[in-house]
Amino acid sequence: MTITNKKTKNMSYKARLFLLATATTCLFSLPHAQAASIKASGLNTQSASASIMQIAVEAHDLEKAQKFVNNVAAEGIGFLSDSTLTQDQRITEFKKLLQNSFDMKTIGIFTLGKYWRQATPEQKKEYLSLFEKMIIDVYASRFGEYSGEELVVTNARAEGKRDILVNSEVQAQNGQAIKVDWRLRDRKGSFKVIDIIVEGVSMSVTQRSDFSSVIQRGGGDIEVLLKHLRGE
Amino acid sequence: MFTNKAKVMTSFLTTTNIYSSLKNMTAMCITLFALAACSTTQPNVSTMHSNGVEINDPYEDMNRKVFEFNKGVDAAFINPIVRGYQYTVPDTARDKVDNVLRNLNSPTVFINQLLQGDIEGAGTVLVRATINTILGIGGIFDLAAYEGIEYEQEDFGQTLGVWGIDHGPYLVVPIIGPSSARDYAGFFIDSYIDPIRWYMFNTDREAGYLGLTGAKYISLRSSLIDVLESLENSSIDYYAATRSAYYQRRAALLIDQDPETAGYEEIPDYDDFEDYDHYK
Repeated sequence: MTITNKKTKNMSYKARLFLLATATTCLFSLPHAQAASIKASGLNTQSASASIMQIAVEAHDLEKAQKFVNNVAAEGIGFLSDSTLTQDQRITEFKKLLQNSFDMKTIGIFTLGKYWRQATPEQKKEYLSLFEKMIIDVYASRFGEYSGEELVVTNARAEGKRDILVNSEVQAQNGQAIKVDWRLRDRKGSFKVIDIIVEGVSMSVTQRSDFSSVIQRGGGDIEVLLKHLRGE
Repeated sequence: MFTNKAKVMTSFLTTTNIYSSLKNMTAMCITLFALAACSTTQPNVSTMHSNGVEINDPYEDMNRKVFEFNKGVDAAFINPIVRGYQYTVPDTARDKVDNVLRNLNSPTVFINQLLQGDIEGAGTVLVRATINTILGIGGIFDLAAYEGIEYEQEDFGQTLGVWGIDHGPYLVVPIIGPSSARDYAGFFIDSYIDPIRWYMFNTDREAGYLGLTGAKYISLRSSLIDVLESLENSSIDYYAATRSAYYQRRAALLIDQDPETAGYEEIPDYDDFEDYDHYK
């Protein structure tokens, strides 16, 4: 303590001012840092804030969100069950559905995780278009697997700071129902899907783990991921 | 390379022989339990976050080797068996098989519900087992589910989780697949405390119990085969995708998939990013 006092005595006016300013900034940023660490520390606080949010989100919005998911499911089942459509026509319908009801940019950016900020503008642009293409290819290859499953919306609630989570169950002709949650975000007055969570497994989080592992093992170079997505 | 795989294979086979020796079994449990407990203090060699859950995979190189080995076993043996089962046994019958196996799992679920302090959950298992065993003819018909009393999967890995023990290192176990120190220890303890196992071993029905274990395994793999196939198709690094899905699924089971308490990771609003609109 005494040593610091001696030091400050010898300091110039400017240096003291700088020290004071730094100390003040640290002091003020402390509560924010604390809040952030509490937020990151677990599910309990998240659910607590979710229940507060529940009051903030109007029942009217939740109802609208449920209707939205019903419409998305109806549109999807519509082109999957229409046996007169060719594969190309189904892909066109699927692209339309993605464009109108999904926020592919938010999904894509989230999926690239921390590497988004490291990417160059050219890489970002190419990544987003490759990502969308990958999603279309993956799901198009599975169109044939549809066999009369039905989707029943069961509930909706506020999720996180700005989203609504719609709970649903996909019922196969036989066998167990699968729990599917739809994470929706209000985008300029209309809902967009930003994540699908199947039996507790988020598609976006899983894909992000996949992508970041590919980049990490490739030495932290985004180009490695782009190569894979390009099919090289 | 091949001898390594063979070694892994034989070491797995010897672990299945443990069923015949209770002493060894207890020793194994204690070791694994200790492993799970110790793991909490281990330095995190490679950690990642997945939906708020920390992934700790210090044995990644070894795990990836076992993962490849399992993929080979799946392609050569497991998947053909599962596909054959799906091809020859109709949907409705397979559904009944699953019901019976779930019903036989009731004692384990019941014990774990009690250990987790979930009295309501324990009551649910009791009601389900009674209705389905008596009215559902030995569990063939899941009548309780029609009444809205649904099956809840509980195991000792989850019980340890409820007690505050974290996953410890991620483990890919030969044949069994993705697990963690905690969940793998739980897996052994579950079969150890299973009253049906005690009964069958005491009445010289060891073979029957092994058959039951095999049936449970094929039923589980049958429910997973399509999910895993689509995960493999949609991922570049299948190992990493499986690992993430495993942790997320276990986290969901741990909170009993209650939509009221399930909290998902925040997804940022990328409008905040100044360059977002640039890429429209």
